[in-house]
Amino acid sequence: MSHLTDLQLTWLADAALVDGPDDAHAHAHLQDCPHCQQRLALLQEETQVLSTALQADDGLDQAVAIPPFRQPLTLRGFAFANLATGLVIWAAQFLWKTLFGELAVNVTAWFTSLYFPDFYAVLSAAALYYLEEGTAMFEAYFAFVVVSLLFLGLLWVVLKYRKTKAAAAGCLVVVFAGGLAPDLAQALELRQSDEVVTIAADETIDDTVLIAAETVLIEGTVTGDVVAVGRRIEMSGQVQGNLITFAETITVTGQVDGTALGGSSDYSLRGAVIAGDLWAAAEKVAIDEDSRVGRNATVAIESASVSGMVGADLYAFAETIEVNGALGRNLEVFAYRLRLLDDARVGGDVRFRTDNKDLLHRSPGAEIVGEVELMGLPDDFQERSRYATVEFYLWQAAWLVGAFVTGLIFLWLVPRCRELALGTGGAALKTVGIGFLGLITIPIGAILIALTVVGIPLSIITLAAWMLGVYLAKILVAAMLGRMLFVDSDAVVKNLLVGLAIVVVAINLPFVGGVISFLLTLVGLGLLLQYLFEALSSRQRDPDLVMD
Amino acid sequence: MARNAAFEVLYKDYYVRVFGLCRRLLNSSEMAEDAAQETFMRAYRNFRKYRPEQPFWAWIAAIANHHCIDLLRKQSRDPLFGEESTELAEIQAEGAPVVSSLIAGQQADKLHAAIGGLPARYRVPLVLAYFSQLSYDEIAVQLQISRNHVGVLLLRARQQLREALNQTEALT
Repeated sequence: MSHLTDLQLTWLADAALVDGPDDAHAHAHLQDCPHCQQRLALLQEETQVLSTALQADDGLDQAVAIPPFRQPLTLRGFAFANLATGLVIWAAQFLWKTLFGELAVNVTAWFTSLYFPDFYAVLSAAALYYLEEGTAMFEAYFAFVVVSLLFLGLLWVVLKYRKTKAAAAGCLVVVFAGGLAPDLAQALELRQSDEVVTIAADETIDDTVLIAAETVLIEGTVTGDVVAVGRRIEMSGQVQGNLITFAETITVTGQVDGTALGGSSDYSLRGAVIAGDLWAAAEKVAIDEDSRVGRNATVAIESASVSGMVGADLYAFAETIEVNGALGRNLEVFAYRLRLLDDARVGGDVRFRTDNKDLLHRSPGAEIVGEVELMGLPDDFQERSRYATVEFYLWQAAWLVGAFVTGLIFLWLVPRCRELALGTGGAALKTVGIGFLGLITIPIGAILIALTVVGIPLSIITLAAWMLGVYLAKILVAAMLGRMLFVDSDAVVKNLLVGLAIVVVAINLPFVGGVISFLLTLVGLGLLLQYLFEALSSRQRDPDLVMD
Repeated sequence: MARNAAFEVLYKDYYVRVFGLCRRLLNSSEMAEDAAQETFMRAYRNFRKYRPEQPFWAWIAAIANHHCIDLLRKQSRDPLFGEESTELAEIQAEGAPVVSSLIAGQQADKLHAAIGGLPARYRVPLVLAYFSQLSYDEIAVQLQISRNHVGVLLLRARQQLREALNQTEALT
């Protein structure tokens, strides 16, 4: 009689021989064959040993570190990532251009505007100035007020109804209302390399591009914005949006249809066409004779050479500036030395802040259509009383109106803030200390958070909240002062208006106004932060607590 | 959110086992890490299809098996599990001592080393049968081969293991 094969016995050992035609025969043989029985027993034991050995964990529990789970990027996640990036770019552009850019330049212009001793002349000049050039400053200021109110509304939704989703939805509405929607229609392309990233001459990218590389070469066409960071950046192609660059060396020889904004050691335009504004912060900025900037150029630098054409104004904050090209309008110079060479042509005025007229060199061929004003002399500037200018009162009135409206809405939304009061002795010092800490540490923290890419949106939100807090600080103090003056009157409007009037006067007092303004900011910020801590901690203690 | 939280818990509970399965199938810790992550990614994407009445281990082990076998197939130029007839011809005559008697005098890690030394075409069905505890039919479906072929591969796997352990025994 022939024994079962190893294959049959293995199948039997693994209990795999079931219902097959060979099954009955194999089992029948097995019953009468001690040899095969013994062999099967050994194989079954082998099966058991293999199962036990393979099932053993091998000490894996201790040896294997469980990595964090990487959730796959969903379409929704991708959309939100795009949305967040778009929001960051939009917010950065808005803050830079509207708040820091135009506001700073306009405030500077206001500070250096002409002084006429005759009151009526001052009044008419100020009105004309406001109509012609001053609107941007007020628009920027009221834009800030509007943004502050939007933030306040969101804060109120979060605090009162604990509706974080509603607040997020509100953010989206603000973003879309702010014109982000068209931007989002475009996708976002990311390119990163330790060496070179090239957008080839025959390449067209229909997206906004973010690039981080040692060397960035943009030879092709980008229909959206380009944000590039690297050691060397060369742009010889066409960017139909804005070009934002940060590198050691930046050379632009191509065409930018929007704004060019850059920070570097060496920023050069060679035969470049910038249709919008140019903002360049660099040790050395060079705009050659073949380059053209369509609108304003603002350069903050150690030395600048402008041989090309600037369509409107040139603002230069530099050690030395050399102009040998054509400017459509004014030349505003905050520099140690200004050289206007033979081919220089200024379509408007030259305003040079210096206390030494010899530091202005004007070649015989240099043409200035308007006037040359040597202004901003430190001594003259100190001597001139700012209280005698209409701009000063316009500005204070604008601040008062904005602060009053913002304060009323804030106190209406968060009525408990109407009752905020400064303690005595140690409590007051504690409030001031908290305000000081908040004033210093929050922006530092926000900047540190921004070092991580994912933290940039959080950083911008933190900075915006901090700016709002600083703005609200004096308003809160004003409300508190008004209430103290009218002995806890419930007339919020009267309290706030009178309080603000006191604050406006106090912070503009000669010599001590700055210190008072600083102290009021510390007090107000401290009160606000204490209120927020208390509100949040009471929510944690009692989640059902609804804040009023 | 609840779905995410539930999956996080399952991930922590089952990661080590999934990693162990992948490591045994792929015979590489580095590849097993990636494979385990990919397995959980696929599971996460398809988590809505998971029915709680089914054991989670069986569900995720099937995903891991599929993924690892796909990886091995991509690595292999020839058909991964060979031809049944070729394997049948290579079956050795009976008589060699079985693994259980060989392992008795040796360390368990020698057995693991021997399993790791098996070619993928033997190692994979062995792991599926004795680690994942799949039946011949289930293994046949996963490997896309016949049930008989599975039996032949498992016998060849056992024979190669016996041979390897025999040689180790002789050396020591």
